[in-house]
Amino acid sequence: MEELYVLAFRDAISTVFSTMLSVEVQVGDPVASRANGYDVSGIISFSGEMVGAAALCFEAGTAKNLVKSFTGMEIATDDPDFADAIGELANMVGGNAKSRFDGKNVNLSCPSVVIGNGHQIHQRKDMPLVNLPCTCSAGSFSVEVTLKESGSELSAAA
Amino acid sequence: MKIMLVDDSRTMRNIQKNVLAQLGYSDIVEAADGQEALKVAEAEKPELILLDWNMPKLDGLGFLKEFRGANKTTPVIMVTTEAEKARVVEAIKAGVNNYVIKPFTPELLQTRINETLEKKAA
Repeated sequence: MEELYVLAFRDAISTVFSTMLSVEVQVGDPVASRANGYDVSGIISFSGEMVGAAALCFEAGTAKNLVKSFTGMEIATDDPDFADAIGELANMVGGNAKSRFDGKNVNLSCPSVVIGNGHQIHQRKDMPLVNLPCTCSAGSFSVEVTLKESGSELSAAA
Repeated sequence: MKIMLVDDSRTMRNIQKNVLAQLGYSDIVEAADGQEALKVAEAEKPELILLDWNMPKLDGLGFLKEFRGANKTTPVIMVTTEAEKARVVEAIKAGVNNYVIKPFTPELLQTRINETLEKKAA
């Protein structure tokens, strides 16, 4: 994945969490492998001149802490408002990132949320996976991204 | 003043409600997609609309085009992640009065609401 797009997600993560949650996030160097398992994931897809998806992946405790920062309330993971908050975070990170895609015309899906202990997100196999490890006061989480120009061949993994 | 919030995320509607409460507005009606918003707008006659773009069933732009067919005057502020210049221009052409890009600070949303209402009153 081109550095432009990795930087787009890195900046989007920092901007969204800082602005909406007052949480400063340190985004580490990208790695090309997924983590072992997550409990909560918010997923947003891209279509148009760029195709792919971004998944914000959390352990339950981290997700609960972040949802509390976002909404101002403790919300149980089985409450629909919990999934709503995680989905909106994914929506804002995806939307903010795509505004940094060098003027490309890209559409955003409505977000999906997966809740379940130890799950993995398997994205499209024809694109390289970039995993951005993130740490903040609420805990650690990952943002897993697959992305390529529409119709392009496989690009090199970051 | 009656204000309608249109966003498929209840979290975002609640955040916007809190900002409006700080400004002294408590007469709020809500809709979770463009189709519902058309019905609520018809029934409740809001005087200001805060409108998300990406929503199921009917998106914000689709709502705006239909709404503006019958209502040219009620101010609409688009509150969305869609930040590209082409999208902003598209929304303005469809009749949006102001624009707030998510993520936003409460102060920015307050500023946009105030300037939109001041323009309406002028």
